Amino acid sequence: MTYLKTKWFGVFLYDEKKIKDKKLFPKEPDEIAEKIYLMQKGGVLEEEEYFKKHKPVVDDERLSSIGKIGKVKKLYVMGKEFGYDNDLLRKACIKLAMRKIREEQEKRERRITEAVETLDDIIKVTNILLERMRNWYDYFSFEGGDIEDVLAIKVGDKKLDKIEEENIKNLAKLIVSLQKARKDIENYIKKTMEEMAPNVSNIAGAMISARLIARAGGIDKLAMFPAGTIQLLGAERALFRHLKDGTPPPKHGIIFQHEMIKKAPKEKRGKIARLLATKISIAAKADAFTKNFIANELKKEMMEKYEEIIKSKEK
Amino acid sequence: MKKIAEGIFKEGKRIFTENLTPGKKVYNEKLVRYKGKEYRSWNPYRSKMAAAILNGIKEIPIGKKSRILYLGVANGTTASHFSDIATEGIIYGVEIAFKPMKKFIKLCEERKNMVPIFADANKPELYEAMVEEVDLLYQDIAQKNQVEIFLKNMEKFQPDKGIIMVKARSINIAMEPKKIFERVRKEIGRKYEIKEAIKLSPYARDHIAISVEI
Repeated sequence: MTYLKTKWFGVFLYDEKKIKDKKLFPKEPDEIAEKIYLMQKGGVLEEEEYFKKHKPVVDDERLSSIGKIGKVKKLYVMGKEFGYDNDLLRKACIKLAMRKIREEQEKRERRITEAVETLDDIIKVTNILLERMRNWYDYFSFEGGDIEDVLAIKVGDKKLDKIEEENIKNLAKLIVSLQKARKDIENYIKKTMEEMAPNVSNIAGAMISARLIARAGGIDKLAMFPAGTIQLLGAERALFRHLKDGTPPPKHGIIFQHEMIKKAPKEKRGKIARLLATKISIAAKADAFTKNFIANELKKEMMEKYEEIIKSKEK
Repeated sequence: MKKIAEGIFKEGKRIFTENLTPGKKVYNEKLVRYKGKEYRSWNPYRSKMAAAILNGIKEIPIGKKSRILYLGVANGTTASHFSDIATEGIIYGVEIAFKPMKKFIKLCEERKNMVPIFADANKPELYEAMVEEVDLLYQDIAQKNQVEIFLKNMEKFQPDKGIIMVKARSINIAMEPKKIFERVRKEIGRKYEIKEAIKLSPYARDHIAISVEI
């Protein structure tokens, strides 16, 4: 039997007794990193291609075009026997890891999580500051308390009054700029979702889509989830509480924010959540794989079933 | 400072390793000088291996020349202590999350016996080419299928020894940790001889360290 095995420093052709032939890589971290990168992407190296004529046994699906898949005898060789030391391996692996991290950083669908969480933080912070501003304003007036009222405030003529006035107005301006930041980030998320997941955002709305994709870790991952999982994304704590302590199971997570569920009578929310999750699941598959726009038909079907559920006397 | 194992020292209730890169801290641990050498305090609340040592694990299968495959290396907190001990060996650190990996790469630039592998430990075939003979597989991965990952990698790399830090709550939140540990021991015991099983409380809740031999 002739076997083929690729190590980080070269490709080996061997049998039960000895190494019959080999192709070593250049002793350069960059080139070695490039070879391993190609392999990890499922590619076949030219050095591997070279041994194809020997019809070797291989144990990696990646090499099914080179040889026969089967059990491969373990090859005991180490780089240093051929002058490839650990330092070269370390440098090559650092290069490779950095390259793959850069690829990861470039994925917008990973970064959308940060935008969604920033939006949540802005909303939280804005609400806290609004309440503070109104509390402060209460000392100066019997009515009002909106941003415009605060911006028009007159505290008094003393030196400290002027300083106080400036500070309370600064607070109002801060809130105005936070509100603008919120609009901007919502727009960004909306546009991103229309491009990244047109079907899901059409069915569920941009914000819910962004949250679902962020939670799943990408549209591809969301597309692999069963509808039941999508229904409960974001309700993990309630789900685990249910599993652990036997509290009632949650009916919905992130998708609760959808008007269709939020506005439905309590006893119908579970059914509607199931319906919505099913449609999102189909939409996500279209966005991730076929890229066809099917949201219109999906939505029509969904609305018909929704009407049925709402009308039905059954609980 | 008393030597308790190769490269590991104890003073009072704390354990230390000799700093491979003197003057540098990895995770804001305490640096201590003793007889002209610098030691790094090994924090059992941050590192499960330190917890296992303090809880009395009998065999610590790491020495000067150890070759270690470390799955779930994260920032490299524990791995940095391995790197202090295995000065003539090598530590391959596998991690899938890119944020901790960024920190780990920095560490690998400073410590010549560490190699970063940015990959999924579920797919050992993707890093098989980089990992040369190893004598210890060490795993700390909080995933539901952590035992499957461990067995898959043991099978692939055939090290003499393996240590897995089992986190019960990642496997099943609803089941009692005791039952999970029993089940895990059975599952691992079918393939490998279990040498020790050590609870990591109070340092880490619902965790045990299981060490095996081929």
